[in-house]
Parts: sequence; C-alpha cells; structure tokens
Amino acid sequence: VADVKYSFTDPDGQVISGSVHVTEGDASKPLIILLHGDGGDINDMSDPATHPQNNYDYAAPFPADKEIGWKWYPGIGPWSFLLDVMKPVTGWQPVLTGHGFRCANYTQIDNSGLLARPVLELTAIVQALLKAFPTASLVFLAHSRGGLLVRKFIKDNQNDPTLAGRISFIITLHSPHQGSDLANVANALDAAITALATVNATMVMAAFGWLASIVHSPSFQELAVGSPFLTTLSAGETAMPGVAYHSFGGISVRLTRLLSWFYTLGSAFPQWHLPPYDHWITMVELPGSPVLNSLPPLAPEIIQGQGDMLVADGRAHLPFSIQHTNSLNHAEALWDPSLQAQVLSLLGQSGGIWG
Amino acid sequence: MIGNLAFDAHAFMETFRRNYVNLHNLWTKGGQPPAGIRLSTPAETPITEGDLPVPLGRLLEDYRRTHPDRAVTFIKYLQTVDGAPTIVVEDERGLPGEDELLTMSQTVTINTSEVARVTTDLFVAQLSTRTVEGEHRG
Repeated sequence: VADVKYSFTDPDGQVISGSVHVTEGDASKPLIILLHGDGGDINDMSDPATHPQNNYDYAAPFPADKEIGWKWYPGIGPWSFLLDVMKPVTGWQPVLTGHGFRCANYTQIDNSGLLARPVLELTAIVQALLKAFPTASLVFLAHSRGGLLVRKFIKDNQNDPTLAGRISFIITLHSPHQGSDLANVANALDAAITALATVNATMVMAAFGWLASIVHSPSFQELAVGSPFLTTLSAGETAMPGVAYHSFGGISVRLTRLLSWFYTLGSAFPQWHLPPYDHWITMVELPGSPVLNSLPPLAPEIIQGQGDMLVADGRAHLPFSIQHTNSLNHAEALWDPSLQAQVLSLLGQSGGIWG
Repeated sequence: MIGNLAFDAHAFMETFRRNYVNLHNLWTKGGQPPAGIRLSTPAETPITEGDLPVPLGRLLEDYRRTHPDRAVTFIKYLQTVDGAPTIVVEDERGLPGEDELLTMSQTVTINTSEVARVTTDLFVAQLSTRTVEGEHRG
C-alpha cells in the first residue's frame, strides 16, 4: 500500500492536505480511482457492509418455525417485528485488488455537502497519482454522485495536457447524470413515508428513514432534475477523447421485507400439559412489505422496473456513454457480483492496453 | 389456513396427544398432587354440557349441528390459574385417538394495576359415532 500525498486550496483560500492509499497490484493494469456517492465514505467502495449497509438479504428463505417454550398463557399475534438480516457482501476494492488492480480509495471532503470542494480535492489527488505512478493508466469507478464528481472534474480539466491519454475508462454506477426527481418531490415523499409508517413506524423508519432525510439535504438538492449545477455541468459537455464511458443503471427498488415472528395458531390452544400453552413462532411477511415497493409512484426513481430507489435508470446515463441496466437497487451497485463481473469483463476486454 | 396462518388440525391433535401427561396417574400412583388442587375422577365428578361456560356451549352446539353423526362424551377437565392447576377431573384412561379427540377451552383474564390473572379451562371429550334413530330400517 502506498500513501500518496496531495494538497489543494479551497475557495476560501484554505490549504487542505491529505493522503490517499493506493493498494498494491499489477503495474501493467490500470490504477482504479474509486469514488463513493453522496453521504458515503471510504467503506462504500471497500466494505459496504460497514457503510452504507443496506445489504439486506431480501431473498432469503424464511427460517423454520421456532419453539419458544411452554407458557401458562396463550400465544397470540405478533411476537416480534424485524427486517431482513444482512448478508455478507464484498465491495469493489477487494474484488478489484483480488484481480490485480491497484485501487485508490478515500473518503471525500464534504461527503455530505456540495460538490465544489470534492472536485478540487479529486483534481489534486489525480495530479498526485499521475506523478506517483507516471506510467499508470487511470480508471474512474464511481458510484452515485461520484459519477457527477468525475464528470465535473473532467469538464474542468478537459484541456489539461497531463491527462491526455492517461484515462482509459470512466465507469459510473447508478449515477444521477440527468438528476434525481426525488429531490423535486421530497415533500411528497416525506408524506408517503409517514403514511406507510402507520403500519409500523419503527420498522418503516429503520428500513428507509435514511431516504426521507437524504432527499432534503443540500447535497441531494444539488442533484435535482434541472438544478443549476446539473444544467451548468451538461452545457457543452463532451466526452474526453480516448476515454471509454460506461454507465450502469438500476431498476429494482426492492430493499428489505417487513417481517414478523408470529405466534402459530397452535400457540393459542391449551394442551393437557402444565403449563398448558406450547409457544411456537413462525415468520410472516407483513402487509406493506417490501417497503419501497409500497410507496406511491411519485417518481420513476422509486418505481420497480424504472429506478433503483434514488436514481431512475432513464437518468443514469450520458449521451456519450455505453449504457447498461441491471435489476439492482442503489446500494446493491456496491457489491453485486454480477455487476462486478460485468465491470471486470469491460476492463479485461481492453487487453491491448495493459496486457 | 386460519386467518393468514396455516394450521394443520390433524398434526395439532397428534402434538396434543404426544404432549399429554396423565395427571391422575402422576399424582395418585407415584406422587402427591400440588397443594390446593381439587383432584377427582369423572365418576366422582361427572363432566356434563351444563358445566361448559356459555361460549363453549355455543361452540358445541355449532359442532353438533355440523356433525350430527358424532356423539360427544366429556372425559377430562383441567383448570389452571396463572399456569398452576386448580381443578383436575381425570381417571387412568389416556386420550382417544386423534380422530376421536375433541378439545374445548376458554381462557379468561383480569388485569388491573394491582392484579393480573389468567384462568384457562380445558375440556377433553371422546368422539364416537352416534346412531340416529330410524337409520337402521332393515
């Protein structure tokens, strides 16, 4: 692992210094810069089970009925409420390093703020990496808002001669290139979530209270459809020559089921036994589950088959990108093995570049 | 299926029989009944339909209406209060087979800031085929 130091001056004149870790790998392969999304951190691209989590195992089969034991009162109704369990997942950094790629991964400055300083930071990091690895080809792999970060970086540095021929791929994962309509309907989304929370407030808010809060944040509002930032970014934007752009979008809003352990009916019947009630519980899926599928169709972002919970597939692409669509939600883009295989295949197809 | 929950009535009757403990034998042939319990046999304390709480009597009427060929003979009665047995009417007989077994129960509760009580009455009956008058004309 190499630590590459960088520094930049922010718009207020403050000099900010830092270092970014670059994992070891095959020098003949490109160096991949990993960019997380809005509100993310370094774990998003390395250990998504730590952050952002949301790695619910929503397809897991229900466990067998469980015996609680003999009681002296009847067992009736719900015993507990729960969401799906989390499943083990492997993030992009370990997958890529496992295939011999060097990775630069870091937590962006203002990771929940506006993009101005993260763009300056990325510019400084790229310049530092170009010097530290003078023969390395660079690949950007960006999740969500990270895709807009790299676009802004490219646009601001389109004519930088040090970048010429050094970037081979820009791959964006579920990035709101054309904005997210959720930012435009944030209030209506709040109301819909509040209505759904009447089913079970604790459960519903645990499942996607994060969604209600994120859509109101300034950083997400910056990504609203038609926002000044996006309008300015797309004006006159062209692909950087020699760079292959690939954009991946998602069309699944399935996040987690709302589950309950329920007393079996037999738990309500006394038996000739002391104590008389043998309590057993069985798992059931509650009305309103799975959560996001139950919201009204306020925007394509939260409609099954159109969006990934935060970004609509129709807004996740660029006019000059090769477009890919998978049935994944927004978080699954951080660990899904089939998506990882697609990206690895893309990188492997360019064997002429790095052997 | 009852409500949204699957229920296998036959399997439950098998479970009921498997978990059954003959309290009469337990307390008359090897040990002592717990203090305060009223232990007797059906011969000493016959269990009749008149002993059923009113809601259970209505359930039994419904059952008889839909199963006119079945005779119901009560053979066991257990009352528990907060899980402790208070009345047991039982003799040395075991349970009928699962297809000849009927159980009825009622759990009532009282709860205040000072008092909480759960009382369960459990009746066990033998089902048999009832001969309807006029059925045998040969």
